[in-house]
Amino acid sequence: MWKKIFSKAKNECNFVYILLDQYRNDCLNAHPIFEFNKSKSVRFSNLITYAPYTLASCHAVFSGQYGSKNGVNAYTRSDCFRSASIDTLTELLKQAGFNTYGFTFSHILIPPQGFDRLRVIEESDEDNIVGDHGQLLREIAERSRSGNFIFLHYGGIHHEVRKNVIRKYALNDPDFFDVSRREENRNRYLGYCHEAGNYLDAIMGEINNLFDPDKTVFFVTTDHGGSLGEKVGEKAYGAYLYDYTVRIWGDLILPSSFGVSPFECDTQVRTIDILPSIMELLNVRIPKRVERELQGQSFVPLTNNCRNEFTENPAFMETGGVHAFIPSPDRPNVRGIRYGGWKLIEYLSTSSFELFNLDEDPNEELNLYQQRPDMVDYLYPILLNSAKG
Amino acid sequence: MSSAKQSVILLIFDSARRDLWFGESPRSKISCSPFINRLAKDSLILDDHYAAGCGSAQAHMSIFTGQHPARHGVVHNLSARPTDVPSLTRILAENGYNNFGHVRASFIPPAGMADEFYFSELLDPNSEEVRQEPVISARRLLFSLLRKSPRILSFLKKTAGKVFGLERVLRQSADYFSGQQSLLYLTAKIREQDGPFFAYSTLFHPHTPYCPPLRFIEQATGTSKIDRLAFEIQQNMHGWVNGDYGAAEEAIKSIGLLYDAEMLYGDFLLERAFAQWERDGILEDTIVVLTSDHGEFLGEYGHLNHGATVEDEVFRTPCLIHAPNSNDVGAGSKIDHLTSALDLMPSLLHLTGVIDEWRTQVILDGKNIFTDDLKDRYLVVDSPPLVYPERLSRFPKVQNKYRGFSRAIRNKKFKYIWNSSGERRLLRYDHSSGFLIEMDLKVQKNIDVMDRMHESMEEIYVSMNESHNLEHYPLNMAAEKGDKNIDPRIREQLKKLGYM
Repeated sequence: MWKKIFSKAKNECNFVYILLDQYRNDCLNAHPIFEFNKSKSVRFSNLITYAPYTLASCHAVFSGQYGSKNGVNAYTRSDCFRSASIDTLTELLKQAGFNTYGFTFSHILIPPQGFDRLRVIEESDEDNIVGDHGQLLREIAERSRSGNFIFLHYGGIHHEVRKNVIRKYALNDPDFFDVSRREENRNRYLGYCHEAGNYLDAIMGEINNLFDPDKTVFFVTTDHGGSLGEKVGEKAYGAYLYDYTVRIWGDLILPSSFGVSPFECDTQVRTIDILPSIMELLNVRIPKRVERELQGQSFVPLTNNCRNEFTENPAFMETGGVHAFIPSPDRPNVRGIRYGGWKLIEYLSTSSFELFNLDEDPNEELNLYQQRPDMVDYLYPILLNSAKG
Repeated sequence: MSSAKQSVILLIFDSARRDLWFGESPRSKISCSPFINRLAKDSLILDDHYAAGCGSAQAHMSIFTGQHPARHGVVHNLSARPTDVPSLTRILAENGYNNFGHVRASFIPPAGMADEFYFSELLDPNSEEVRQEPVISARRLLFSLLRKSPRILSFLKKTAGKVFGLERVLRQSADYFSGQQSLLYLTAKIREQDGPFFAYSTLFHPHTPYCPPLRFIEQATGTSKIDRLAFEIQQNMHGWVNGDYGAAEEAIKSIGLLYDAEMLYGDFLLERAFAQWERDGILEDTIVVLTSDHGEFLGEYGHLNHGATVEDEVFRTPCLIHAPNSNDVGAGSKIDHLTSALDLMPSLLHLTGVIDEWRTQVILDGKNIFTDDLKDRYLVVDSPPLVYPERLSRFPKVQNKYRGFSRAIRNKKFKYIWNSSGERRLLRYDHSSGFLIEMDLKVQKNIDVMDRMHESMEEIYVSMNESHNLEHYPLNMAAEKGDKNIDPRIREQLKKLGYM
């Protein structure tokens, strides 16, 4: 059915990818726009990011491959992206005839290949992000009101957390990590999320004014979550692989003419699945040589509630923190696999493991590594297989 | 400078396991160290000697410092090297000794750390190339470039193996690591000395590649034939552990014989050097220590090579002290108590007669085997986890097998092994048969022993490091090249984003 609907939409519709950097899954109540969007979208509430920091997460999204394969698996490896052998999401859309535009706040965060125009305004030069993004959108609309792929990156939460948390607290600072501070941390964070909601509200309004809402698909999502002080040693993100940073969300908002009933999809999907899903949604054929290298699988069948056409895949994740007790900016030193309601995490710097039953212990507090060797023996080979480059 | 002080020659036979020396090898059924066995009649044997680490870097570091890897922090060949650890050679230098040495590998401390370890000269392939070839030659440039590109090097080796045969490639590599050059260097250097000296080398016999000159292979194999697969597996040990060759029993048996042959060659080289030292008249006033850094797996429990476990095949090592002028070292004597590579530093300092002031300057985990009480002694050992497991992504079974890490504690009676997966084992030493017997953990008495040993193990670790965490194994990796080479524009961006 989807192919039938979107075969018409190819090149006639717009695809707007809005990335709200560092927006936690459990803070979508910070602004009414998220509830409103939910009422119009298929909300993927169990979307798992490959890496809990922007540059590795985004490169995985744009390549449909884990960082161990695309080359960007650590903070200092943004120039190691295997661009010569990878066709990015943007390049594939460009090849399919889309106009491609992007807006971000650092040139190292997303692969620039395929963008007709990728505008980078660094945080220090940013004073009115809605205005800046709006200006770009108006310029795009002047050129063409359809067939546009637009990537908008909002970094407000990231910037505030950096100023007010990362720079302010130590890695084991009781002023941040003490349980009594959790509420304060949450409220502060919700304030940043509210600002992100304001941005989203304004920018979606602008887009709906400039482009035909019946021909515009939105994917509103984040790249990773953030800490509120749950685990000592992680002030923001990137040090560990707990769900508060890796379990993210994505709202796929489809024009009403497509007749899709909004619902919340809690099946586990991965950020590497986004590329093949967008391709399928826009009915863009993926060349065989690209398809062979993709590690993601389209989750489009889920949008039609066709769970039987979609098999849940193990979600591999890895990180090497910079603000961490054992920093590892050059290569990942924590890796994990999330599958079937379980998560196995391996800490390569200390050679320790954690195993969590996510259904019974969503806050990941009870390490079952020694109690459940059967699950470890089941998950570890899957982790190793996923870690292959 | 007083010549009354005893000089020291320390020779470490890399990867020699205990069953290679002082008797017949269980594999080739011949004595693989005939000269060492003869020498043992005039020497002291440490009969139950234990390595300090399952890999070369940590084991060597402990021999030279008397400190456990948990204290000095070198737990792997790629670990960062501390630069301010008091060492045997430093104390000797401060007492008028001239320290010098020669090794064929640059990554095993004290190689590359001559200044930190107070060597007046310590040659390794890096420093030697510089000495011998002050002008950069095309050959040197090519080899140094290849060393930086392991993938290309591996590709070239494979291609050369196909073209010239694996045995030939392996032999070329074995020739490179021959100890002959090191022993010739030591002999020449010793002749130059007019005061007390400390001469050191690590000889790569019987370290891989096991491919000594043909006559030693023939001596070890007798009528048996070498399975050619043994040469291939030597170049792809992870492949065998991964199960890529199946059990390959004949090839593994051949690997054991080649290992024995490699020791025969090492023993032959040593005999020649000793004969020269005797002719030069230096042995009377010299303490010679022959030992190994760690043992080796030859297929037991599905392992080859060394590292990654705490089994006795890797930790039981031979040690012999030859000191004809010392009252402490009786000819043909033995110490049956548990001794450790950690003990060599204090024991050698005792034998040299260096005054005891050094004891106040250093923290030691080893004991003086001549004066300290060795009864009821406990030793802890551990094996690090796989480092950079992603390099072994082609070998998932290897990664799975070496998941986590192990720690062990032993005394004369028992050995207790703890793995980070939570697995625990208790083994008993049967000294009459030489076997380790697995104890039944359903028996409460055994559980009690195990619990007590676990407690002792924790106490020993905490005594070395207050913040010790049994379930963590910090690898203390050296800074990587990637960090140094990062594009300055990317570094600038990372800074701006608050990441660095």
